[in-house]
Amino acid sequence: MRDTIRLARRGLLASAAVLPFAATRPAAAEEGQVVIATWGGDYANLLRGNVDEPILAPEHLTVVQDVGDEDPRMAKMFAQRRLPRGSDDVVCLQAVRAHEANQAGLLEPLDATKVPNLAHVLPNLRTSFYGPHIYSPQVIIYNPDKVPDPPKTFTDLLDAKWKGRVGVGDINYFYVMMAAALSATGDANKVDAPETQALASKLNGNGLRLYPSTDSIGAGVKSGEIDVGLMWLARVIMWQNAGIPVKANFLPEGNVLYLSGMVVPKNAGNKPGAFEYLNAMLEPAAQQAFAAKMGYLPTVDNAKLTGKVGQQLAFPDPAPKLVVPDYDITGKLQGPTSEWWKKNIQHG
Amino acid sequence: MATTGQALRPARAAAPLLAPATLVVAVMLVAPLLLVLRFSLDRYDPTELMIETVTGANYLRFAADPFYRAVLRTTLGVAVACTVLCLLLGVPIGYRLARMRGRWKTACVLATVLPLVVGSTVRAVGWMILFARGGVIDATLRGLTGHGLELMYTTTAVVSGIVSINLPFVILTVQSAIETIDAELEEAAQSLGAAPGRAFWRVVWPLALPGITVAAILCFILAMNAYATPYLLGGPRFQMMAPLLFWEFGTNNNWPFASALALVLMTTTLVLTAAGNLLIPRRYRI
Amino acid sequence: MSRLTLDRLGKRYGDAMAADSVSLDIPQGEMVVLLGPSGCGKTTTLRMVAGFVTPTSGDVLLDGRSILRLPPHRREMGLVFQNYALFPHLSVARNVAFGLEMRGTPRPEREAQVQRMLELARLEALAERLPRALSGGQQQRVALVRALAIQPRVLLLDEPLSNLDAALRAEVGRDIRLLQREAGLTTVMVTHDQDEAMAMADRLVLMRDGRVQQTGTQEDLYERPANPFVAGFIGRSTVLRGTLHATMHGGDVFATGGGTLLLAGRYAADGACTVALRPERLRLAPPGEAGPGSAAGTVELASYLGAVREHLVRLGPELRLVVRDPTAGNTRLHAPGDAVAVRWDAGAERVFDAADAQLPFLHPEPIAPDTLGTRMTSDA
Repeated sequence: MRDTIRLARRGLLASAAVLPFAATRPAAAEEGQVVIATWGGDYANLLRGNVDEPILAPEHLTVVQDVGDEDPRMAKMFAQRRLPRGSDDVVCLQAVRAHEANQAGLLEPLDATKVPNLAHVLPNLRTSFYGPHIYSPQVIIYNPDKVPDPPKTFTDLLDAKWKGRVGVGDINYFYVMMAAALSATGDANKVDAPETQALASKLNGNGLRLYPSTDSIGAGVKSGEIDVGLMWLARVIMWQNAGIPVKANFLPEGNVLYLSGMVVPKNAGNKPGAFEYLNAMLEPAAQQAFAAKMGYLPTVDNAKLTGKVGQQLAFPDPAPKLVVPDYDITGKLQGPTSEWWKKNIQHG
Repeated sequence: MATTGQALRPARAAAPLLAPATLVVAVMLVAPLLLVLRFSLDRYDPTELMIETVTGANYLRFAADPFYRAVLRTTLGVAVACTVLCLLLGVPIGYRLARMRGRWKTACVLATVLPLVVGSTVRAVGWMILFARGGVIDATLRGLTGHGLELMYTTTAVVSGIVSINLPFVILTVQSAIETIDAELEEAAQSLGAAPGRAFWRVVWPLALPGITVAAILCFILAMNAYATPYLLGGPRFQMMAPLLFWEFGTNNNWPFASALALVLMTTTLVLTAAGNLLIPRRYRI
Repeated sequence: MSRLTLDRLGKRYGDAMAADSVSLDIPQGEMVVLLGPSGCGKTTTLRMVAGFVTPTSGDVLLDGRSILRLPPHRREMGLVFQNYALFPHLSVARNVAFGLEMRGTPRPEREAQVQRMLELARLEALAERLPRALSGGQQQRVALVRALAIQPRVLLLDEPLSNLDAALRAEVGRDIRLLQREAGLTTVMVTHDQDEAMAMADRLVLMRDGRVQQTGTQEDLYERPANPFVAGFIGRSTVLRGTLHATMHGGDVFATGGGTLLLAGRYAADGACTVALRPERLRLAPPGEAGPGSAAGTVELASYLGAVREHLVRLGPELRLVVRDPTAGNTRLHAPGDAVAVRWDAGAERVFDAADAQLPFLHPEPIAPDTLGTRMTSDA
């Protein structure tokens, strides 16, 4: 099982060029099997432990995980768009990538007749093609042992006393830019505004540390390399549980939501299975498990959080301002922003 | 005429036997290359990805943008530094290994080959542990001198990482080249009055030069195309061609531009390899 | 040009002594050949002199001064290898010039010397060739003059002829000998081939298991071997271990392998001993003629080898003798199965006691034939 997953992943790059011309799914054609393209690691394990095994296995639906990164997953969907049958039934994507895929006309429309649990999805997260799975607001994080007076706003990070002490994830560049846009223009979608770019460059000029992965930010806080950063609340809770000294502050100008979920490609081989999968991951029990283990907030209104996780994820009073970006706008800005980031922040 | 015909006959007879191999090479090597060349002339579109056309826009974009030229310069600098370091370390070690005998030699060759069993990514992770803040080097220096040394995400880290990966190849190539040179030649040179170092330069070095050239070329090509090491040890701010083109390919889905970058990288590597070979005296060239 | 002295030179590898207390004094201009089977320590000894092997004991002296501390490149020894060891990337002339270049000899002088050396080796026409374009004999001549060009204090030759075919071997051997003598070079040569050694040496050193067995001229080793090994190695004597029965009259009786020999001489010993017989000093005679220096047997093999005839004669179930007699003599080639007597004089036999020391030869007193007959039958 593991081997087939790894092969599929390695095979992707090697055969990407040929993929548009060849069908690659002989084995997965059986009715009782659904192929989900997902991240590996904790996320995949939690899906297996809380969705695949307890909910879908009794329904005789076998789940095959196609583990890999988001970018190749997107590329694969695009590459297979003209095939009658794509290789994945369910594809895990961040909201903005899902909007991109939808604009390219790759996605199967979704509604509560196909996926009944979509009726429970929080109103601000609903779309006609997306199964929102987990979400978390972006917050300022800090090391309480070393920072008695933590920064409150984005502009606070420009203070010379934080020179070389602030870290963000390089892969989360778009969220950093949205936070800058919120601070500079009041609109999270204006990541390409000159004010936004100027503010981001200033932050970069203050010795901003870029981390190649989300986990390495936590390692940076732990080793004392940085004291402050931008991260989703979910990670703060994971790190707290792992004993890393870290606390979170909500940004008064607004906290962009990191939203991740699942889509069904138009050419999915097993659409009923895919709908069943989406419905299962929206089940309260599954949602509560992701909150407890990964610190993400449930995307449905019927999964109440109790106990320790309830306390950790409880919002302060007054309630923080949560911002859902306009994905139609930000989707188009992905490419240009990524290039701007590469040339001006990474190379700055 | 008759002799020519006779000479041709075995070749003709062998042709059907070679055909499958030729076909495999063509399909596995040439076809993807041609595909990349074709892609590099296409145009990128955010929703359609690739629009078939014939345009030099991707190459122009590379040539016109100082950012990309800087990345190519960094890549070249790292590759040259790695090649020089690998030769400085690899030639003496390869020489030593070639002149060793018996059980020690087996052990040392094994010790050289063993790192190759561990993938480059895993080794990069090893270096991360060494280089990281609070890592082995930082902590040791901090304990000894009070000042730590952060090497993570520096050029030093990338070059060390690539050298550690390429060194076994260089050592083994140099070793096999030197093993073909009879040790008696050095003794002869010494008996004629050449000190050991001089005997090496006058006798072993010129004879080993073709092998050392192969080692240098191998090292240079590997360094030019390094991916995991600059990505993991260089961090987001360290830009080399291979991670850049993969980013264009994977993250931006801009296959045409990624293809153009790939061909620029490949051409630069080939041209410099050929140029380097020209610097070698003619009779030692490969 | 110097006197080379090896003083109790030894080299130990772990528990094994590759060379054990090798002592040798070679005056100016002498050519000494270290001879022995492979693994006898001759090459190790040569390499200790050259400086490539560090001795574990003893000393190497040049004109009375120890050179052990000098690295090979400062010992000024001309070294010639079995595989020639010519620099394959340098022309013949550059090979010969190499040592002079290392010494910083000025160009005009160097070129003149190279020219002289090439003439000496009759290689002027091949000066610009690469070594691989030369025949084996030519290559070895280049190697020789390359070593001579630096006017070494000592010339060391390591199996210089072994890679050459038989015809060339004699020719290059002569070249070496002539050049060495002309230059008056103190020379040490190593070989495993006794013919080569006999032909080239002023003096021979026969080695075995790291130890010198005997040092001396060819004649010393041939006529007066110090022990059975020397006797067997030089001239390929037939060496027999057996029991000596002293007699009052005639030669002593020697019994081995189920047969007996009536020795040519008497020896002051009794019991276990070793007898070495030189095949070229034995001769075949009609059967029945018994007396000191004789044995009766049957021809097993007979070969006509041109200069000599060689017969293998069986004297007992496990006792055979090789007899080599010149074809110039008036004997004939026997047929296998012929009954013959083997006869010899005092010069053909050497007798060693149980401790391998040679026993002095005592002339036998004449005896009556009938007494002899009794002895021989009773012993057989």
